[in-house]
Amino acid sequence: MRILLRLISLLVPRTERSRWREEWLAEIQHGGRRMVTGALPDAWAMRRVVRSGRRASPLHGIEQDVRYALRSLFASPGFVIGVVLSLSIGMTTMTSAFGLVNAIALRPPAGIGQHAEVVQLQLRQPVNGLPYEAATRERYLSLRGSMQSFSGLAAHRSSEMVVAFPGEPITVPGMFVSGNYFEVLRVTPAAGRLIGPPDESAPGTQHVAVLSHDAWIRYFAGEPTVVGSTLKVNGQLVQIIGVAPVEFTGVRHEIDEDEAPRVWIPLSLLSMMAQEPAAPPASRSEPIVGITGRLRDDVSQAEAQAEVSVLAASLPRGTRSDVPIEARLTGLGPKDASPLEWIGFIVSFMAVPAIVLALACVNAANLFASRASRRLRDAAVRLSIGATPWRIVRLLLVECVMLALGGCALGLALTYWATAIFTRYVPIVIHIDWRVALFSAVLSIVTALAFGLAPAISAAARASDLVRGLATRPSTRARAVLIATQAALSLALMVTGWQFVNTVRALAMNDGLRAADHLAIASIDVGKLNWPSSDVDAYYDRIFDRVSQLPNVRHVSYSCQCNPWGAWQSRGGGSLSIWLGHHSPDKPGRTLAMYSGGDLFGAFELPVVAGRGFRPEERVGPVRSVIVNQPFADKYLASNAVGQPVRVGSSDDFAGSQPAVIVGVVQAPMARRTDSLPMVYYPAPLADLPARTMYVRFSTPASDSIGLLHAAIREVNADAPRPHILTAEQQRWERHEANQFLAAAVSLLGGIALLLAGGGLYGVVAFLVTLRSHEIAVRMALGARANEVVGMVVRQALRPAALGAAVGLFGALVTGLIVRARLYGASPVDPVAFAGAATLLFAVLFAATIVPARRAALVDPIQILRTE
Amino acid sequence: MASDPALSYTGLFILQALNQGHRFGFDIMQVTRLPSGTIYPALRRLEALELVTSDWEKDLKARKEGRPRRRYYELTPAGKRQLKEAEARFMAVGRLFPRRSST
Repeated sequence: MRILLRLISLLVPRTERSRWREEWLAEIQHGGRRMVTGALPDAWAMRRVVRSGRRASPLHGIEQDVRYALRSLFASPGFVIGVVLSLSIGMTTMTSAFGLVNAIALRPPAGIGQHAEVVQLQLRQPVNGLPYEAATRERYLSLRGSMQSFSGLAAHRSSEMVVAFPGEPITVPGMFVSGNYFEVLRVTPAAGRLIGPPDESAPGTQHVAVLSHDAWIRYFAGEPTVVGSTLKVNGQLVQIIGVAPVEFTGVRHEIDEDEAPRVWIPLSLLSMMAQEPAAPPASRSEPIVGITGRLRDDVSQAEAQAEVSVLAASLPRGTRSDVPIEARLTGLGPKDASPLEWIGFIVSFMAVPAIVLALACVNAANLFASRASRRLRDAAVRLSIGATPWRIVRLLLVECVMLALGGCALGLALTYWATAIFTRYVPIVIHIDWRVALFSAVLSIVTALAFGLAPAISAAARASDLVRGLATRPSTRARAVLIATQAALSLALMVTGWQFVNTVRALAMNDGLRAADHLAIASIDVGKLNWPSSDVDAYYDRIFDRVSQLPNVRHVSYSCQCNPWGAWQSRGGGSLSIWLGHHSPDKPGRTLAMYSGGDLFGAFELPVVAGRGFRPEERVGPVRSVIVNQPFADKYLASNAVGQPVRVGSSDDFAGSQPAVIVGVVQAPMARRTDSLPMVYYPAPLADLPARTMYVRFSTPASDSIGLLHAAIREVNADAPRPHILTAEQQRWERHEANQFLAAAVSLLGGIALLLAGGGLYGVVAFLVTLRSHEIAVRMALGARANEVVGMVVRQALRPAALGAAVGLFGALVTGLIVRARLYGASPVDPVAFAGAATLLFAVLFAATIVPARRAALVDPIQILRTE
Repeated sequence: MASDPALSYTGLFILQALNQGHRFGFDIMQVTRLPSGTIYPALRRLEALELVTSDWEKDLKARKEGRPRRRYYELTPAGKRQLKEAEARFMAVGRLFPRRSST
């Protein structure tokens, strides 16, 4: 019996346990064993009574604290402005970064009804161990007929389309979709109707199209009468039947406006409207599509996966491989796409803003701690009339939360503004939606705890020391650590940003291209118009003649759409099979190669170092001569290349190759790498080349002539899509855009961090000086000179900063090494960046220290000693 | 009084029992005929509401009778006031339990 009571007593909180046990022993003495049945509910009641008494207290009277905090904050506007500004900067960086992450990863694709039920279906077939996309249209149709788990299964195929919007034809992203596509995704049209099953049923007869909302606004000014009008897409007339809703980009979450589809066409028109010459004939007969399905209400994704796996394995296996086809279902959210990857992405994206926020928190903590220790006496009085230490901590925390909420509100406003600027430069739509607002609010609470908890607890502890009559002095070590942290973080950020900017600039500049601002690059693609190859050649010849007559043009040249700097696009070639003396017919070498029509070497300003350039008669007919670059000659031909016979071909087929002679050697275009890639230039196209890049070298800056160039090309044929024209300078920027942006962002954040560090140090030094005012007065009364006092204060403040700076520089060095590993051509230690950032840091910190230090040294010592 | 918590019948019974001089758990249980699982939790609540306070029996007396000390409950002024208000409302409350002859 006693044991049972003892066991039950464990439920009773410890403070009451022994009394409870004794009472019950007495009661059982009277009432007997049956009494025990009452012990359990009693123990429970006891527990609740004690607990509720305890739990009620933590928040008891919080409204008083809120009122008091508001009053005391209103009384010190300078402090509030300092903290709120500091926090809002940190929160703005963090919230903006989160807004971007949200736009990229977290927001569901727009315009899709009940997107949680929508899944994407991938079909893969391993060929020689590599997973090949196997979702052909035939397989899709077969699955669509037999799947039970889906209320609908739709297909789509992205394709570039030449669309004759009012004005001139341009190449835009488009999409071929099955008739049920919009039905499966439950899309509501913004105008007219969307493509439906009837549009698909009679292949080739229904020429209809749906416009994207963006295209509707951009090209038709949102005019509702556009529904029912006709439009030329890939040279075919189609009728516009409707407009998709705002921001609808299909199941792929397209955040880049330039890549979002502008036009949707029924999939049944695919074979007629999209001839893809680059695709090998085998796959032309069975185009690959993306498959999207909507799960039935009563079917889970796992059940659907089980069904689709079985069905996929029984699909016809095709000619490429005899391995069964594998199927995989994924939802639309990021949660299915390897969470680790997303978390890594988010963390790496948020890391630098988080550092800035941490710096802002350190600042706020500094200011807050100073303020708390000025109000120590107030806390001591509260404690001595019966307040618990928790009440003191709570009062201070309430102030912190209010400050953080203020920072959050200002931060959200600044974020709105910052993203507005950001989206002007980067075509990404960022919304401040509820996720961002929630993130910001949670962040502000976390921030309040981060900067307020430690100062509040230490202030409460010191106040209770004061009550007990113990002398109390704030620990200056904690502040020294804070200063050092700020110095380290801001310096590391700045140096890294600076190095990064330098690296990116070096990468962009060192492409070996001379006077890049005088070179215009025009990408022209008439492949979608299905012209016969003689028309294509004639078209380009006419452009060549027309452009050559433009003013200030020095050299005009054509090439395939490949990049002269080594990274080439596969369209239209880029690599070539080559047979030199040592190659056997069935084992040719592969080399980078480029079509060199017109005066390519003149446009690039690449001197011919041996032999000669191409002659006009070599530019027609089969290739009989080639020019190699210096690295090629050095690597394969021991430098005496001119006159050597070679065979070149676009495939490994020896019989189809051409015999040719090397007639010249040109300099390599790449200056930044000593191991420039070997390259071969040939004078005439090896195959049909509907997509070409035109290089035009002007004697004046090319940006002045881009309009003329556009007009000249359009004059030749108004049906051809608008070419993409950039100066080589702009192209440099475009190629390094992401890195440039990142580098600029890091250095901007580094600058903000530096300002925060300066502000924080100012606060700390001002506080330290007030603490030591008595000592300083004594020193001065004893004969210390003002500049000695200033020197003393500055030294005391800058010592931890110097330590922190050393740590920060080390961190930057490590980051630099990591960057070097990732980015070719980056130097790990840019002495200018290191020295410059360190100098800047100390200049700012010195300025932040000298002001309060001088103020301390200029006061009259007698006055201070009298007030003490 | 508006801030006074509502008193359950059980609570009322217990207050009345205490008022009549029944001072410890088992005694109250016997006179009210309520089960032990009701009496004791109710006592805890009344104590938390400060209508009832508790004290321990004299150590000497318990030792003389060879048993553990009893925990004695009694009404606080607030408890007495509550009981009086309740009696005004429910006339029969005063006659619920007989006064205890001795403790």
